[in-house]
Amino acid sequence: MQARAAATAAWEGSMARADREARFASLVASHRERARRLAYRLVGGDAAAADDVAQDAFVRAYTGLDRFRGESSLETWFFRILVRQAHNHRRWRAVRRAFAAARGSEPPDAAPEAPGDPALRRRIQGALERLTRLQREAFVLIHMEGFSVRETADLLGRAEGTVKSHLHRALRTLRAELADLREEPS
Amino acid sequence: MRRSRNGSEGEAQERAFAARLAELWQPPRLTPAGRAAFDAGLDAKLAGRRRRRAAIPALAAATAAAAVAWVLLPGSPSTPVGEVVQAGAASWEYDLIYDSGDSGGSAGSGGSEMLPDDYQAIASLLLDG
Repeated sequence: MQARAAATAAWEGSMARADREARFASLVASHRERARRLAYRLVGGDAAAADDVAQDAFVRAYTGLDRFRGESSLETWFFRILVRQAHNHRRWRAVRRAFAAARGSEPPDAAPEAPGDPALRRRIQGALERLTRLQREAFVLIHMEGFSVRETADLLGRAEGTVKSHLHRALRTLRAELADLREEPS
Repeated sequence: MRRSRNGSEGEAQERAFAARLAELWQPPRLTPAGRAAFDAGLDAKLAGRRRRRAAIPALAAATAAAAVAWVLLPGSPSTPVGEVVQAGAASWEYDLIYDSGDSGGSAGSGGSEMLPDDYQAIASLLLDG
């Protein structure tokens, strides 16, 4: 009787593991590209760092998948992890840059392989970097990634009104700094 | 009515502006080789995490064993009471404390020869009458 219970428990455990592996593989396959893109936009245009941040977010999601209770969608839950991971990356990068500056050496510039005009990319990067954290995150999530205001509020753990306010200020700043990009090139 | 039309025009302009920025500000799409490299990197990170998690119980056990050995084994830096007495004492005082048994209680035995002269005198007075 005990042996049968143990066998049942082992079988359920292996099924749970298989289910978890399958869910994780599906999460990676369906969100890999978007995770990289969002990370790229949040960390400031560094493709290698974006891959690193996206991978770290997937690893965190993997270890926390058993604790996911479905209170929000799996997508929202994962992107919340990713946004935090990107923020942590930015903080550590700021520390590394401060340390490098104190030693008199500059870290290498990011994203040499990104497509498009490098000068234009630097302008966009500079304009986004001058936004506050919440302004940048709200703008990227809503206007670049297509999340709704409610989803973004959930992702950032803020009220919808707060998100709207930051989004409005971000847009005003960016339109002023990048006014020439408002018209499509003919 | 006009305000509403202006508002929707403004929103459309905002959307177009944001779409233009989004188009200009994105990483290169992954090629099949890039996707494989990304997945390989992810697998390596997952494997590293699994190894670290598997090592935690072994590390904890090793740390506990080292702590127990530190406290219990002879030669450990814990300080027995007798050594406190010894600290700072001259060698003849140490001998007086620990080697008194070897003297056999007799001033004429080999152990008492190690005593200083004034101690020898006191010992002679008390023991030899």
